Amino acid sequence: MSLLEKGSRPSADKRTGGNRPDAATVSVSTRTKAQRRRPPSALSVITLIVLLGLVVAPLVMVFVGAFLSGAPGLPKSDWSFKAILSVYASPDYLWPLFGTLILAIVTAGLSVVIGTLFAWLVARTNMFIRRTLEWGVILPLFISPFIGAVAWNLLGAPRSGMINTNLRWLLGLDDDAVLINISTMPGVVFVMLLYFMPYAYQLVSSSLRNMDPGLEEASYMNGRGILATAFKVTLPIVRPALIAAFFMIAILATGVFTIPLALGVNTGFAPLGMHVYLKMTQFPVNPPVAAAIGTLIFWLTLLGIYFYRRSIRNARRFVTLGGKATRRREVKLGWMRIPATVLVALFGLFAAVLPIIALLVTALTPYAMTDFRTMQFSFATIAQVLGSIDVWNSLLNTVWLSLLAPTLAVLIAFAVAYVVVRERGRLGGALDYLATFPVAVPGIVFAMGILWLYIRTPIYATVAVLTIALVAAFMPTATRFSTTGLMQIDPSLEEAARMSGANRFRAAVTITLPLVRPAILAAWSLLFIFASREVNETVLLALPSTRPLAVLAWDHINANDPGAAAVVSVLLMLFMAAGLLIARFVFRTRLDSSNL
Amino acid sequence: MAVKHLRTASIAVLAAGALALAGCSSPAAPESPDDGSGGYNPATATSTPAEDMEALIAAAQAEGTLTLYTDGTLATQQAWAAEFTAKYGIQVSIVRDSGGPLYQKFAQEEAAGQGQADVFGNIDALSLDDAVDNGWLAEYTPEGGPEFPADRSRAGYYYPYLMGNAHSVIYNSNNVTPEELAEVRENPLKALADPKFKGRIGVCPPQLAMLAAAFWYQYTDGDGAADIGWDGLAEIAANVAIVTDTATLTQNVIQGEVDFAFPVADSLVGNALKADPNTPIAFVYPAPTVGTQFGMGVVADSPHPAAARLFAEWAASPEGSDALAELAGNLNLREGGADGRAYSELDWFVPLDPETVVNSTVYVQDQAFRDAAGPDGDFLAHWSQVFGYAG
Repeated sequence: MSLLEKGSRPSADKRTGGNRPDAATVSVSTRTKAQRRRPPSALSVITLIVLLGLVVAPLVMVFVGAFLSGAPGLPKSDWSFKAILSVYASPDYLWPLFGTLILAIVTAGLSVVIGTLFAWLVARTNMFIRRTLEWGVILPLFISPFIGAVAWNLLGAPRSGMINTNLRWLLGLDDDAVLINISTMPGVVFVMLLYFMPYAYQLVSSSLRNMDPGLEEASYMNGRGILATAFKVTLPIVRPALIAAFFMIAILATGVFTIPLALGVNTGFAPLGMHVYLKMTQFPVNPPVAAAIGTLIFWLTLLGIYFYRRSIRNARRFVTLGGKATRRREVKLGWMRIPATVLVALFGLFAAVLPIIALLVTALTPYAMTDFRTMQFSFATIAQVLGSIDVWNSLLNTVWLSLLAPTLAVLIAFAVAYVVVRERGRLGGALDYLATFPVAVPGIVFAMGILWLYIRTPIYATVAVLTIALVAAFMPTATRFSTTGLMQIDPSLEEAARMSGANRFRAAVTITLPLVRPAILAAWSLLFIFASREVNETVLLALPSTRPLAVLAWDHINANDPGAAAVVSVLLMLFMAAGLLIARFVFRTRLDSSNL
Repeated sequence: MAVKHLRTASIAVLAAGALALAGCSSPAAPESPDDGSGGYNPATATSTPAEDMEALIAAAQAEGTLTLYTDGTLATQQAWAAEFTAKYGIQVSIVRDSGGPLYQKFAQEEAAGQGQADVFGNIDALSLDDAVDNGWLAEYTPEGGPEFPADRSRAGYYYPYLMGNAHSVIYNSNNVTPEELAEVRENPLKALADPKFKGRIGVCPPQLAMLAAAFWYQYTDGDGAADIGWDGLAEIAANVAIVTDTATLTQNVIQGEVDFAFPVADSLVGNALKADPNTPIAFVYPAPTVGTQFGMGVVADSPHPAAARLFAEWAASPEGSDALAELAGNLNLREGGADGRAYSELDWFVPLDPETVVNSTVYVQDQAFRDAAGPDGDFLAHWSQVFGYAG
C-alpha cells in the first residue's frame, strides 16, 4: 500500500497516538504559496460555471422572489420589501426560529448519541446477530421520512393508532387510555430520530471501521478498561465524524416540514420549514413570504455549514489508510449482551418493521382501519393502484431519475473533488463551499428557486428539470464521498502517468478514476436511494408526465387516499431494493456502513 | 497574476449569468392554429355547433391527449376521465392539488408561456375570475353550458361541471352516540362547544381555502356571529384536538382519531361512501353554512385545444355530468341532472335548507370579507390565535 506523506507528519502522529507502524497518515491542509498562485485550470472554471448555474442561480432566484410582491413572472408581481420585512422585522417568526433551532439541536444531539452507541455496539462488541441488526439500522434509509411519518401516524395516533387501539383490548385498558401519542413535539423528535439517526450511524460506523485497531489494543494492554478505552481512545478519534454527523443532521432537521405535517401536530408551534410549506399551499398563497422564510433558514443553516465544514476539514486532515494488521479485540458485553441486542433490534422494529407493517395493512384494508378485531382485508386498493397507468409512468420516471441524477451528481462531484484535492488553490476552496450550499436550503425552497429559474425554458415539464434539482441537492453528499475517496489516492501515481506522456485528463481517467471507483459507486448507490425516495425537491416541479413514485405517494396522501399511498410506498421500497441488488451484482458494490 | 484571476472569475460569472439568463428567457410563442379560412376551427372555436361536432372529435382524437388541472378528489377525477377516454380514445393526465397551490402553479405556467393545462378546474371562483381577467381561460361555451346555474358560472368562460357542495360537520357514525348526535343536530357548532367533546373535534383552518375562511367568517361576522362569535369559537377551540386540511380530517374521522370535524364539504363524505358504503362517516349541515361549486373552463393557450373543447362538451353533457355525479356520489348542478348522492337515501341524511346556505360567489364579491381575510386583514391571525394554530 502506498503512503502519502505530504505536510506535517509529526502533527498527524501526535493526534493519532504517534505509534502506528502499520498505518499511513496524510495531511492535505498545508498549501504552498506556489499552489495558491497557480492559475485556475479549465476544469476548475468549467466546474465553477456548472456549480454557479446548478446551485447559486436557484438560490439567487429565491432571494429575488423574497423581494417581490408575488411569484416571479406573474402579471401583478412588483419589487417589494413587504415579504422581507414581514419575516425579518416582525416578532412573528422569532419563536419559530428559536423553536426550529432547539428542535434541530435536540434531534441532532440524540441522533449522534444513539448512532454512536449503535455503531460501537455493532463494530466493537459481541452483540448477537450484528449483521442482521445492522440492516435494521440502515433500512430506514430506504423509507422516505414522510412515508415513515405517515406510517407512524397510523401506528401512534393517540385515539385511533394501531398500537393504542389494539393494546387497549389486549391489555384490558380503558377505552380512553393513551399509551403512545405521536402527534406531539416529542413524537416529531422520535420520528425524526428514526429517519435521521442512520446518517449518524453510518458516519461514526465508517470512522470506527477505518480506525487503527492497534490504538485500542495498546490501551487495553496498558490496563485501561472498556469504558476508559472507549472514552479516551475511540471517541477522540471518531470525534470529527461525531461533529460532522451532528451538524449534518441539525441542518437537515432545520428544513423539515413533512414529518410534523404528516403527524398532525397541533401544539401552536410549527418549525420554519413547515411555515415555508404552508405559505406555499395555504390561503392566501404567498410565495414571496415563503421565499423570505427560506432566506432566513439559509442564514441559519449557513452557520451550521460553517461548523460542519470545519469538522469535515478536521476529519479529512488525518485520513488513515490502515493495513489493519492488528485484529480488533471484540468487547465482551457480559450480561449487557441481551439488553444491547434488544435495544438495537427495537430501533429496527420502530424504524422499519412496524411502519412497513402499518403500510401493508393500510394497503390491504378498504378504508383506514386500525382495530385488528374488526379488520377486513381486500385487494381492491392494490388492484386499483396497479391498474392505473399513472403508477407505471411514475415507475418509469423513477427509473430515469434514479439513474440519471446520481450519475450526473457523482461525475460533477468527482470534478469538484479533483479540483479541491489535486489542484487546490482558492478556486478549489470556493468550489468546495459552493458544493455544500444546497444543504443550507430546505428542499422545497430550493425547488421553488429551480421552478422560477426554469419555468420559462423548454426543459420545464420534463424529467430534466427534476434531474437538475436532484443533482444540485445531491452535490454535498456526492462531493463528500468523492473528496474523501480521492484524498486516499496517492497523487504520485498520476504524476508517474504524466511523466510517461499521458496528459492530465488521461491520467485522471485511466489512473485516478478506477482507483476512486469504490467511493464513487458507494456514493452512487446511496444517491440512487435518495433519488428514488425524494419528495421535497420534486413535489413542486413534477407533472403527471414527469412525476416519480415518491411524489405520486405524496399526491395520494394529499388526496385523502392513504391506502393508495401505502401501495405506492411499498412498490417504491421494492424498487429500491431491486435496484440495489442489481447494483450489487453489476458493480459489485454493497451498501453497508463500511462504504456508506 | 491577479489580473489573470480576475479575468477567469469574470468569465465564470458571465458564463453563469448566461446560464441563468437562458433559464429566464421566454420560449417561442406557439403558432396560431387558426387557418384563416373563416370556417369552424376546432382549436379556436368559442362554441361547437352540432354539425361541427364530428370535426371537433376528429381534431381532438388527432391530438390524442389532454391535461386536466383539478382540485377535485383524485380517484373520482381519474374514474371520470377514464370514461371520457373509453368513449373517445383520448388519454387524460390529471394534475391534482388544493385550490390555492393549483392556481399558483397554473398562473405561473401561463404567465411564463409554459401552459401545460388544457382544462382548468378550481373550487375558488376568485381564482377562476382572475384567470379570465388575465386571459388565461378561453372563451368557450359548450352546448350544455347554459344548463348550469348562471349565478355560479361565468358565461362563456367557466361552468360548474364538477359538482356543487356545502360545508358540513362530519362525524364517525360508530363513535357518536344517538344522544350526542341529537344535540349536534339541534345546533352543531353550539353543541360542540360543550366540554364533553374535548379532544374529539378536528377543524379545518380558514387558511386552507377561501371557502373555509368564508365559513368561519359567517360565525364571527356573518349570520352566525350572534349565536357563536369569537367567544363561542374560543369554547370550541378548547375541545379541538386536530387542526388540519379537510382530506386529513376526513381520514381522521373515518379512522376514529376524532369523532367530529368541520368545515368539511359534504362531497368528501359522498366520495368516501362511494369508495366503500360501510365507511363509518356521516354529516349534518350547520346553519348557516357555505355552498360552492367546482368551476371548470378551457385554457386559452391549451396545448391540445380541440381535446380541451371536446372534454368541455362532454363534461357539460348529460352523459358526462351524470357520470361524475354517479362516480363521486355527489350533487349534479346541471338542470335535470342525475343526483349521485346515494347517501340521500340513508336514515341519517337531513337535506340542506336552501335558506341557510350562502354561496361562495357572494363572498367573492364581499369586499369586507376580502379585506378581512386578505394578506393585510387580521381575520386569519385572530383565528390562529383563538385556535392556537401555528400556520
